[in-house]
Amino acid sequence: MKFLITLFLYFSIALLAAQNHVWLAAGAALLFTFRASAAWLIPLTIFIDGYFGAFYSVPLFSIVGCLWYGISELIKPQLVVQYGKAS
Amino acid sequence: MKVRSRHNFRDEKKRRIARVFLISVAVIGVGLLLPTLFTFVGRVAMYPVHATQQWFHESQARLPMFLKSQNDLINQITDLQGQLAAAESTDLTQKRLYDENFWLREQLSIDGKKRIGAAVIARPNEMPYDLLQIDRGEDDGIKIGAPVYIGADNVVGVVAQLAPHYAFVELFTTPGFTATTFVSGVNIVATLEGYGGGVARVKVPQGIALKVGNLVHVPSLDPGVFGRIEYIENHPSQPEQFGYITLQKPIANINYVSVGTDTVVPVNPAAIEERISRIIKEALVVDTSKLHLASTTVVAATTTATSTRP
Repeated sequence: MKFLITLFLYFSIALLAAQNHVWLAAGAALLFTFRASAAWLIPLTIFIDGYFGAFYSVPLFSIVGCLWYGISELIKPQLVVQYGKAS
Repeated sequence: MKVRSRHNFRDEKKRRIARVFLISVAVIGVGLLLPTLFTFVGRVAMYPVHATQQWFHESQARLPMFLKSQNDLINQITDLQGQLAAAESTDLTQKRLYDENFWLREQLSIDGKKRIGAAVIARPNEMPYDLLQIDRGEDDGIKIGAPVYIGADNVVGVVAQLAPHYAFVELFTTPGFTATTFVSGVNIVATLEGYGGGVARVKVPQGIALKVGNLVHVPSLDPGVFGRIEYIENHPSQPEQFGYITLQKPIANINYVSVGTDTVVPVNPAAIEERISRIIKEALVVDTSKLHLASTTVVAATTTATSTRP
């Protein structure tokens, strides 16, 4: 069930980004990051940039995806530690 | 046996992050070098998303209709309202131009007579009944006593008062207004008298076969048709009968008039006789060039007669 929800979330990010609902896509990506891993977002952002033909200029989604992966991997352990301390 | 310490685990994780990051950057770099390939791959990979998106946008099924955002529908309504307003505006402009064109065509049918076009700026109930105010005055060449026409030959009154930039028109239907007229059909000269309220009447002796539809000419004006007899009041015990005439167009419908440049000067009886004779001679002649206008006048007269007949 968890896998299906994560898959649905992944597909939703693609759908929302394709519809130019960038902020909703960002929210879904944030949720996805904490359910799975931001590494999966990198190929998705590359596909989205390819879909929009952004490689002819600046592949913004891909760049943001890479940066988000780096940031999320730094933030995630901190959040887990904080959560552990609180409980 | 190798033991993975916490420190080693962190280092390994950092290396993995760096490796993924570097691979991603490399892929993006390749993408920038081969944009066509990446665009193709991206579109193939995103095809399910694209198909879903199309279904969501275009399908009339219940689910997408339900899921369509309210904002989309509001934006659509706003767009349609804008289009509707633009269409109405265009329609209004076209209608105004059509009316103006029709009026100018009416004026064009005047043969060799110079007239001054004027717009009616006040009418009953803003003014006393049987009085019009027009937007042309002395500075535009209007004179007191000049005949005022609707269309080519339908004379409705004369200029009674004058100011530099406007004038007042006294209609033939003003109470107390009298004029010598000629009633065609029965071919008789009769006195027209204003009755008030947009109505005038001609008084003719008993025994004259006055009929509804007889034209009433004003021979002292050329051209000068005042209107048609719409109703006949005939009491056999009385020595005379009355034919009632209303304006061809209701006063509220008169937007434009044309004013003759010649004043209604007293015409000698011989000239009046000559014009009456000419009206009789020309009664059966149909000018084909004016057929269109004649037909519209008849339609207007019929409409007026239908609406005003008691």
